[in-house]
Amino acid sequence: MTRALALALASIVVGGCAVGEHRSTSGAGSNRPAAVALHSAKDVPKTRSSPPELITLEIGGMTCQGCVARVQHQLACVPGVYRVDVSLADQRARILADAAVADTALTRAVRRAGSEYLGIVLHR
Amino acid sequence: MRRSGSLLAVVLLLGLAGGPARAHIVSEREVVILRGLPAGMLAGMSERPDSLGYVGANHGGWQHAEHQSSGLVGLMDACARADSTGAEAAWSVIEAAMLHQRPGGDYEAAGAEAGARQLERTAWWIAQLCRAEVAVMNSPLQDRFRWRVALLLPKLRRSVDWLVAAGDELFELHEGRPDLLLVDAEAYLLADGIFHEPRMAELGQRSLAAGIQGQRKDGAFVAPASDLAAQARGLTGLMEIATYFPMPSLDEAAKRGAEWLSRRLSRQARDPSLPAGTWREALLALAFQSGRANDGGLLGRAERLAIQSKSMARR
Repeated sequence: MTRALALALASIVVGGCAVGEHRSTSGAGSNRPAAVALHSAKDVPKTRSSPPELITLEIGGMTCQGCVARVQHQLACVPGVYRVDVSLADQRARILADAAVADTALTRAVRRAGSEYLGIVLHR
Repeated sequence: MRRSGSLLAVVLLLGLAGGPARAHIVSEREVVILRGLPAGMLAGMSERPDSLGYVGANHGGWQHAEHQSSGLVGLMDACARADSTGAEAAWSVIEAAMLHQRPGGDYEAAGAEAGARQLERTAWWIAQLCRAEVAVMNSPLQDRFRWRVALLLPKLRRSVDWLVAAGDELFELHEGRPDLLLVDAEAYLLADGIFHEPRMAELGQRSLAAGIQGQRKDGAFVAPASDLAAQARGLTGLMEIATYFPMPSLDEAAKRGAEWLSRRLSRQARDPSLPAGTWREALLALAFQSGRANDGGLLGRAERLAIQSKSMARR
């Protein structure tokens, strides 16, 4: 009972990808710096459904590296996203993803990181 | 068993402690901007409610909730400055409007108007009401208004749900009108900041992206270049979003939008046919942008134009 409660509490605190979404190889809670890419280009699967493309997302509301880590984690959870690099200084995320990944999937992921964040697609 | 009971109590306490914090966007940005403007400036530009709580064109008989919005600026300004007397008087603006809310969430309106125009006007009111709720709950007077806001939230939710249900229709109707799209985006995104509903965020992001894309290079959001009120409302919507979710592209768009409005207003300042409501909304938008961007030049222009508008009104 105690263990179950502790696990439930831990899952609230740590958070994770939503149901039906993939998770980065390193996973939440790792010690990697927040602005380092979660996946390298070699992670791009050879059997991808559409060619990868570079997408720039502008993100409002990030104030610290904790925000960067939260946003980065949620973007990395979007199926079809291979590489994410979020910069606090630029207030931007550079994303390598399948061309089939919709803008709304990315902006929704930013919002999932917290209602204080807002993303808009600048270039793709 | 006793240990698990105490853990459960901790979880419940954490949940309760987290409740109010998630009730709305937690950010003092707007309050700080309002407080940074010269004292009395916004109070002079906004309208005071009458004994029934009515403002502007609603004086003498209810016309539309849209007109109540100019009284909300007075409420936000008073709350930001911890002026409880002013804030108490201005709160009646909301109470009066809520007496005219229909069960579906929209508001009674005098006269028969096309549905599209009704939607547009109500979206503006809901956007400004969400803005005021967030500002009040981030102000020094938040404790004074906590229960009143708690009682307001179910009514506000009804209005937001009504606006969400009309989301696709609104987007189609406002296609090619960046000014209206930005007001819709403000309503949906601030509502999401209060109620945390993914559908509100989706609608807001869609309207924002389309609104920003539609802005002309010279900064205008409007196709008929004479429509200063529409430009002021679009600018207000954009500035609110940029205030709570600051990002360079939105700041740049707001700057260009304000410059366009300031130029046009200076050019039309001697036009006696310019309605008082247009003057008011344009000046409020310019004053707010000057505070956001810490732009002393724009603030000076807004102050000069405010004096000019008063002298025009006296004629």
